[in-house]
Amino acid sequence: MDQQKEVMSSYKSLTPKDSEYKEYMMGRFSDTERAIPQISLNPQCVNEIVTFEIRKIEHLEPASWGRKVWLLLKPHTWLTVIVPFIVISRVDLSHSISTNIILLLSLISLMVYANWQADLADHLEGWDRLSGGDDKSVLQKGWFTGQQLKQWSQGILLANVVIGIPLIMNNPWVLVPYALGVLALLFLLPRWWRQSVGLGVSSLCIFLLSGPLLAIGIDLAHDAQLNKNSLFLGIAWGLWMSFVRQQNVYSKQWRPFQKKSSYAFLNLGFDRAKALMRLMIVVVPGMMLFNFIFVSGGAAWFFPLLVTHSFFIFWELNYNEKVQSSIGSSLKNLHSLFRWHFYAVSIMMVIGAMIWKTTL
Amino acid sequence: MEIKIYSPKDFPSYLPKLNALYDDLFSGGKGFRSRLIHPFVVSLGIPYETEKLLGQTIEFIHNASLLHDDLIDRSSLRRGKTTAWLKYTPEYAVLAGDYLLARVMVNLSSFGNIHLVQYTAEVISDLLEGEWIQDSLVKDFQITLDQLDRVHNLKTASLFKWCLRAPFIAIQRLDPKLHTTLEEMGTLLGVLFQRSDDLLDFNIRNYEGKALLGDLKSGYLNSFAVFLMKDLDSAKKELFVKVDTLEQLKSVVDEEYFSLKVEEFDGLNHQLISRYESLLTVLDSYLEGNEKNLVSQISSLHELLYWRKKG
Repeated sequence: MDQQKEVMSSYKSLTPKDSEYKEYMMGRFSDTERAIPQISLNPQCVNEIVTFEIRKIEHLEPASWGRKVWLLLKPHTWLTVIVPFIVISRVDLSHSISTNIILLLSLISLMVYANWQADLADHLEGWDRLSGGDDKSVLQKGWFTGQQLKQWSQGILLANVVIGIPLIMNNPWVLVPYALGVLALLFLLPRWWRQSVGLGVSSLCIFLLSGPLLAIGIDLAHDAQLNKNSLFLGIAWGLWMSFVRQQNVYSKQWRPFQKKSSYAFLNLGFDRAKALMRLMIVVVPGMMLFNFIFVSGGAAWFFPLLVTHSFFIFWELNYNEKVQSSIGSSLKNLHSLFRWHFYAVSIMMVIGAMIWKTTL
Repeated sequence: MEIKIYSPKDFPSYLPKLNALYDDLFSGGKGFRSRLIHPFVVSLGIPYETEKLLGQTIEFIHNASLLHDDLIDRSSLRRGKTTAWLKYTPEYAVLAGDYLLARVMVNLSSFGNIHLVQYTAEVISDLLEGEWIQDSLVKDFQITLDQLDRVHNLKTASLFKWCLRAPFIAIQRLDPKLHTTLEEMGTLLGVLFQRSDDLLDFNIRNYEGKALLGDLKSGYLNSFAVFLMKDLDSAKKELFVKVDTLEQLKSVVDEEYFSLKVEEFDGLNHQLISRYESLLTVLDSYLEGNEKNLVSQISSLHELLYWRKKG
């Protein structure tokens, strides 16, 4: 207990307006200590105070390197780019292994960059202190600092550019969707920008980034001709990913009134957002399925996804009706179901790609 | 000088049953929150009339919430007496609560300190938000401790924060860093108080003989209930939420597990106490001369609020 007291006894409270705030958030204040932001007892309030527990590096929560790296890189999020990569590469009938490898590395590195930038933004703006529980980021645990993440993300972006050079040299037109994608990412990540224009823009950026732009980019990287199959597959996936984003906002982002929400979805109010979610649970998968009508051999995806979506829509509607509170467990349960739905759709998309040729 | 929170002279005599209702309400209370202001009053040299205003404000807000709470929960007893909504009518209980809040605004606006009015209005707003969210969590048996903390921060801690900050605001001491520290301290005290209150429901440090398992029987998991249930399997969780007595509960979780969890819970809250103690040092740096006596006056508040030791 005394040792624990010695470890845990140092605290510092700062508000976002204090000059030292950023030094502590970025971990620049010391080489031997880390400032672990405690779960704010008044997160996202006008008077938010962040209390840091100052711990020596050797006294941080122990974990294996595997776990640290998993939380740092978040491989489960790579499905956002891996699924369309597999699907569209298959449809392109590209057999160039080297192109595929380079393309995959490029996509994954861009995804990791986006994750790190988002983690950093969440950390600095306090969104990660809004939700407690077990899904703390590496920054919240103090395993890595904000400064490290900032430097590594700059490094990985540079690496991404270097990795992409062979693709660009093979087909300079790849630069177009790549540049547009980077622009969309730059619009997407700074929260101050999103706050001023509302959720519509960020949803559009997510749709473009993970959907048509990605599909066109993959086509061009394979030096294949742009074709409607890729485009509609991209649109389908983009719609789905945009909806996944809305699901996350709905199930995790409610906060006290004093801090107005930047999300148009939440500004509808709890009851209307719930009603809108009820509608979207049915409509968005429908819109996704609609795109497969325009894909040659689209039956390979249409029927497996129809079954998958139908199963999850039934349960999601059920769970959504049970949501009575903006912070209760019912929203957590719904969020969990949304995640399983995402994984199931990802699997079905890949399976569909595998059986695609047989349905032509 | 003891502050007289309620006087019939402060309320209209022509409203039937109003003064009888308030007499019942205020005569049973300990006035703890208004007494929390006293060390600040002494250290900051605040005049008696201002102390009375502050004391009345916080007690009116607190008791207004009790009047409404008892009706929402359909409680039959409050401080050993029949609740107002039962003894009088639900309508009078609601109106009496609303009237107390209205008097708060009248009194504060007469005082003329706009910052105090603004801050008090924010606190009332927080309190009501917390009540609303808490009501939405009834029958939610999978709630987590951090989710409950958000409710308690709004519902309970807001009043403690007010007790720490309002005296300084009343004398126009508006230094943001000072208030940041006070806000954090008030938050910690509020959470500690709430968690201690939640332990009373399980007969832990229940020196006043409060009725047991009231929250659980109302379908609401308090912080200790959440903590107890966290590591139980689903079969035990189902039994847990249906118990009627503490003996039944201990037969579900067993005595050893129960005692271990009490110890762990105390350990968890000890961390909050450590944070509070470190903030006392910070507070001291913002005070001058005799004001520094305040730190020693409030340094053992956690003993009173969490460990329920007599002051």
